[in-house]
Amino acid sequence: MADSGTGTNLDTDGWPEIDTSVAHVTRVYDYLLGGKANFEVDRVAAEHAYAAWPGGLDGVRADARAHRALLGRVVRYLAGQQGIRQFLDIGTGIPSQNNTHQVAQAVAPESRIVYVDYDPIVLAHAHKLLTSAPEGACDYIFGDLRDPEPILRKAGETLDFGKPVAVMLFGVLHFFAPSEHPEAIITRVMGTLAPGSYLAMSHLAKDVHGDELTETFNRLNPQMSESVVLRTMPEVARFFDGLDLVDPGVVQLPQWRPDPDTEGTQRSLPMWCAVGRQS
Amino acid sequence: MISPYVRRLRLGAELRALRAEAGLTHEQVAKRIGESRAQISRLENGHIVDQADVMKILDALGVDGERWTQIVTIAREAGERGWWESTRGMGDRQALYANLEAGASEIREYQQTFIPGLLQTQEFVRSRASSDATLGPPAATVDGVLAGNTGRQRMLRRPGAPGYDVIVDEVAIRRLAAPPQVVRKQLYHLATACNGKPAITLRILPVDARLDSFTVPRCAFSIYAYPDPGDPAVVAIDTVTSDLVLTEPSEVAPYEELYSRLCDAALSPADSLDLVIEVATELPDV
Repeated sequence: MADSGTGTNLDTDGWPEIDTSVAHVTRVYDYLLGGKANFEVDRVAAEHAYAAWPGGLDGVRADARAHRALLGRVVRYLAGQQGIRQFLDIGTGIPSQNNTHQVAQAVAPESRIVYVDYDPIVLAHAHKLLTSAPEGACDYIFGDLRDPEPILRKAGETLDFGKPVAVMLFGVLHFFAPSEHPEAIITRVMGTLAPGSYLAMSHLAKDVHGDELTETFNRLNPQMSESVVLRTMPEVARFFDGLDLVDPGVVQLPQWRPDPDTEGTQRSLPMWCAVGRQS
Repeated sequence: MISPYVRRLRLGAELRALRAEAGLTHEQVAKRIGESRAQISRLENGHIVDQADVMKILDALGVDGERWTQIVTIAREAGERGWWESTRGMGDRQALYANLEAGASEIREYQQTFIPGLLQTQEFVRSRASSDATLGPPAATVDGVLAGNTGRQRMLRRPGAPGYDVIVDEVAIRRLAAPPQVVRKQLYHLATACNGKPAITLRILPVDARLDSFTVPRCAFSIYAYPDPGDPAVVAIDTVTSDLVLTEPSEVAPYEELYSRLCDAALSPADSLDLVIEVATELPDV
């Protein structure tokens, strides 16, 4: 366990209970990735909705794997080429084999990682995220980005905000309606962080296979506790206002600094991603 | 509030010690305060709390100063009524546990058959209550049991909550004590609670665990420690129809030793949570 990886602060009335009355995105995504941390309500919703996805259920499964692979490439790039040693991974999801801390600490064992998620099913797996290399540190925060203050306060116990931090928002902001002002939340979070910090993000696209995606989420949203808001490439780019976009800018996942073995680089994948640097 | 049950035992011990120091018999103390010998006995055994009689005894034995204040405080706390006394239908057994848990600094629990009550989901509690009702008329109402459970779980999250360290037999997470979909969520909930704060340490005792000197436990039990070093450590033993409470150090000691052997033989906390999740994912959820 990490030196500061003592668990989670639950300032709530009780331990959050897993709600199986509606589908939850974390568990739906786990199902798409072939995991077991999902319930019938999630599987039924996923199979019904993602039949409308480009390529159907097989298509979305391949895309979910591509999304997971992107996370690895981004963390390797930030740790390996940009020397980032601190990560704030918000919307962590169910742990897999290559979580942010494993990828970052394979490059630099002294890396410090704070995970944040608001789904109790992720909290049930949090111990798997607290397996830091002894040189570094991991912590887990049960929290919702809609209320960034407690997250920043608790993350500050593990991360040094005087030094650069990479904020990871993978598959998170498309759950924020415009009325929730996600751009203001990003400004708030990045404003806490030192120059040289990074924002890395992926976001479901409105302007790639737009009809299929609209149909998918017309089906999924009513069955889910969260609702997806699709955004266009310029709308995603706007989240990086005030930051310098890292080459190649806002692109579909397989086009972001592909490895020789990155799959599907020729495929059109309805999700945008980008990394920006704070100067 | 410190467990009134424990404070009552402490009060008895203090009164016994005072009488011994004064070199008096039960009769002699009884005569001095105009009470029966049996009343002195009941006070010293912690069976009753009578603040007026305690004051008379302190007077008769010439106790004053800090010791007087200490014993009067203990007597007052021994007479306090906890939330569990006004929670209807939670059952006497659960009320006893709520009482022992109050103000504890540390709770160590070994469970053989069930997920610990402090970590049960509402759905699991309901399901257990309807299972028990198939065997005979229930001693408590479902709503009462739920209210009792909620109150006890709140105790674990309040500021200054006791450290909670629990060993659960592998059987308790594998043998279904409720329908599989209820147990599946219950097991995830167990992992959620143990990954949260305040810290709960869960260890699973594998069925094939090798205990030092083969001292396999006969029954589930809990050990309570309290912040006042003068208060006794208490062991509560869960039997089929009632709970046995031990406070004599010579009776408590074997359970502390057994607990430490169980700890040594159990899986590490991280491996325990991995197993809990593995068992959960293997269960059907419909």
